[in-house]
Amino acid sequence: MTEFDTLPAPQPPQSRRWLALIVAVLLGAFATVAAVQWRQLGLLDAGVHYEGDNIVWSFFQLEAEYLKLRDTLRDIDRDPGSLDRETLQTRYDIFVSRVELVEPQRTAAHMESRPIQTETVARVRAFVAAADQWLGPGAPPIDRAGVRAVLEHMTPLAEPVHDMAMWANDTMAAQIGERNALVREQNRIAIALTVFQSLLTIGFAVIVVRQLRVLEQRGAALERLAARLQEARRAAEAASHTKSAFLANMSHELRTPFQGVLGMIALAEDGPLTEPQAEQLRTARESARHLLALLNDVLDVSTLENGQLRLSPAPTSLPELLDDIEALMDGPARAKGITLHVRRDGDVPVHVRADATRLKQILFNLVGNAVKFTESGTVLLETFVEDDLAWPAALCFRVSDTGIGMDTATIGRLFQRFVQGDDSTSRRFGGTGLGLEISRSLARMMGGDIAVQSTPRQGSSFTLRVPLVTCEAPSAAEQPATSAAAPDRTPPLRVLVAEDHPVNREFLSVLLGRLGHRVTLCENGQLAVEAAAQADYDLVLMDLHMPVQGGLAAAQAIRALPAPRGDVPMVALTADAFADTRQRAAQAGMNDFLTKPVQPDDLQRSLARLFGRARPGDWVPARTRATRTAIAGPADAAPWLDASAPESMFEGLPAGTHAQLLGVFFEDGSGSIARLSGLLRGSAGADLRNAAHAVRGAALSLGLRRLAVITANIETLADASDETAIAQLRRRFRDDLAETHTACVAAGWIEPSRARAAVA
Amino acid sequence: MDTARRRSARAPAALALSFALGLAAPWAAALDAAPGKVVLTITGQVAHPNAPDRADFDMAMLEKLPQHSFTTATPWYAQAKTFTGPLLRDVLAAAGARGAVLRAVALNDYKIEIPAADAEAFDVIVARLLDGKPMAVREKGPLFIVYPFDSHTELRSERYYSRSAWQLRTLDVR
Repeated sequence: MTEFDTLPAPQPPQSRRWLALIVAVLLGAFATVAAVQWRQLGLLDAGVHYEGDNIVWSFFQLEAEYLKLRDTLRDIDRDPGSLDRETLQTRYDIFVSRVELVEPQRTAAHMESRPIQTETVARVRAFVAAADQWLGPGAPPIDRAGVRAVLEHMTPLAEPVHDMAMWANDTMAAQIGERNALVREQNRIAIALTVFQSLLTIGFAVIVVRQLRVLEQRGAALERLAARLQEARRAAEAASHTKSAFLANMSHELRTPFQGVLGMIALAEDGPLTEPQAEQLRTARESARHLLALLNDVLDVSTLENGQLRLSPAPTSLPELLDDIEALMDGPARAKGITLHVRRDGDVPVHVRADATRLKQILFNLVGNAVKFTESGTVLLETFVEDDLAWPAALCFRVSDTGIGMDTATIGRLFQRFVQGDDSTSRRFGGTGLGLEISRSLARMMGGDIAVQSTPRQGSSFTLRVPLVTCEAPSAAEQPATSAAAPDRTPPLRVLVAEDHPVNREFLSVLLGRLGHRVTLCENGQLAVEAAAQADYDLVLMDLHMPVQGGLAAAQAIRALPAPRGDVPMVALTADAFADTRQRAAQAGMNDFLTKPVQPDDLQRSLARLFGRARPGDWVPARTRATRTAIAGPADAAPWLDASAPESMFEGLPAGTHAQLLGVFFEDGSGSIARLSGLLRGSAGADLRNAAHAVRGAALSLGLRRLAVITANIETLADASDETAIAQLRRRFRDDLAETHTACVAAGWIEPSRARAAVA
Repeated sequence: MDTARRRSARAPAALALSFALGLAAPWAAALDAAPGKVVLTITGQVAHPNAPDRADFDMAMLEKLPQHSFTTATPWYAQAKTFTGPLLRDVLAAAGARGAVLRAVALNDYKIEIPAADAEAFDVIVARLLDGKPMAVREKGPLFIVYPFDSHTELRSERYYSRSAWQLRTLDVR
């Protein structure tokens, strides 16, 4: 948690309260200022009305008009000839019109009336009432006596009118002073409030700045944290990458000793075994195969994770691909009593561009799962083309079964790593749980995907969709060593095996020998190059990792030889399944690539790829084999033949292989029978034992019981036997060989016309 | 002769003013002499004088002009009052008055300058009736310049109150 130590603590709620308080006070201050200003506006308005008809002005005007009227009257009194009645009338009317302007009820709004005002106004009104009898509306024209009378009434008013004006002036001055004081006071309040507001605003700003700074610090801390997390992620990714690489390396390392385990088990199975021992070895082999499958899965996952897995699309024959699937999966399906149907729609093109190996891997996985999780019924592999307008055409493979099915939750977890249907299925059916993840990853690498539909207890259907890329049938140039190119190079092939590991070397020798090929062994690349230069071979199997000279260098050296020896097909053997290794092998001139431990199936397929189908009928789809080559002889053949042995040995191999190999055996293509016969004529010892062992291995795997027994006897007695015993064994061997051949013909295992050079 | 020439020279200008003011009233062309007692005299730049260098109006002449009436509060009365009389701009047009400033002079020699534009911007009237009755001199009559204070807030200020001359006698057009 050190990442978080530098993060500033979140803003405490206290300062938030302060902020709220300041905002509230600010709002209050704004409201107060607004109220004060509103009042000032009111005062100003009052002032306007005040001045609208200045009260004091009215008082002085009254006095002025009083003086003007008095002067006019005095002038007329002094000089009666100057009497202008109209002017006098106007003067008088103007004076009268001024009186109401100083009435207390009019001024009361602005200044408190005093006796001096009420009394004076009353006296002026009294004067007007008296004067109206000479100057009022409807009065007769005024004469000199009238003028004098008005003057007499008027004169005493001079002082009160003047005093009233002075009083009004003083009062108003005092009021204006008061108002000014009020305005000044309010201005002071406003200024104080403004100062207060400014302080609050500064306080607010300080808090905001502080907040911003804290935010900035938090932001910076977060950035640092993000950077550290990024660093940590990089480190984690690097660690994960290292782990994947380690896993991949470990898988490779495990495969090499594994080759030995599988090879030795295969050899041990050839030996004389009691029934329990055979069963134990069978279990060991099954376990080893299972372990190998796990290793392959782990290797696939780690190469997928490393991004090292590369697809290599090439023209691929779909019927052949489907035949392979069917051939390999039919056996296990039949063993469980399930029918496997493989169906291809008419509109599916024969040739497509695809990575056949990976496509097969996915289909094996899907079909294998279907078989595994189906107790009874059928497994159907359909191939069709989906050509909706909305999408590019897709090549679809749908595997449907009548198995246990899955519920929605299980489907959701299905493609996750290490997850199977549920824990109980995991215990029940085994497996790594990596298969579907690998399949989906591969499908997605191909630009497609895998979809699932399932109903519990009714079955599941997995649909693999990949973009459909049609292509022409591969030309001869692309497949230089097809059956068309080398129809005559049928088994026995002359095979040169370069492999430094003695166990693996022996296993390959046995395996190839069992397939009827002639094998030359050597221990390193240099010896292989020498052998390839000195003799003609049909095929070179080359381990890539050897002392003295590696496989790649040796392959290049062989390719440098003059034709035809430099053109010999070469197959790379390695425990390393990386794409770049495959590529390097191809660059060195290798024609094919086999991953250790080499399984008979793999080798068979490689040979098929390189040499085509040896003979028509050899690669008959497996489902027909059940009827045609059920290796079960008549009851009377029992002492000589054992149908069960070849049945398990050739399980998954094309039908006809057994018959073909029987033919090869009796023709003695490998020379092992001739060699044994020769040795039986002469000396005992290790050579004899080895020769017997070679024949016994072939006899066991071909189901030739009597021959296996006699060769086992020879093996046992080889070291310690005297000549008489050897001669006896030689006769027994010759007789058994002939009788076995007869029994094979009788059982229909081989054609009667089939050559029997060795027997003869 | 001199006067006639001057008058004829000024007539187009007065007409132009009338048009400019949007007033093409028929009385704009000529002004008869005032038969009754003169209550309003317009001096200065007057295009249609009916007396030497001035236009005199008696009450009947003012009454013949289109009459306008509005009720407004004023600082001089406790209640709102209804004032009636011709629009100031009609009176000016009748006299062919043309100028930027009107100097109003009241009976008591109160003097105030009124921008001629006021007559255009506002429906200023030369009130001769207060609440439907003629105004005596002692009632601030007989003529009273009144702005429509209640129709325009900006008029309710000392500036316009002081321009509302009562006991109006003379308008000098400058």
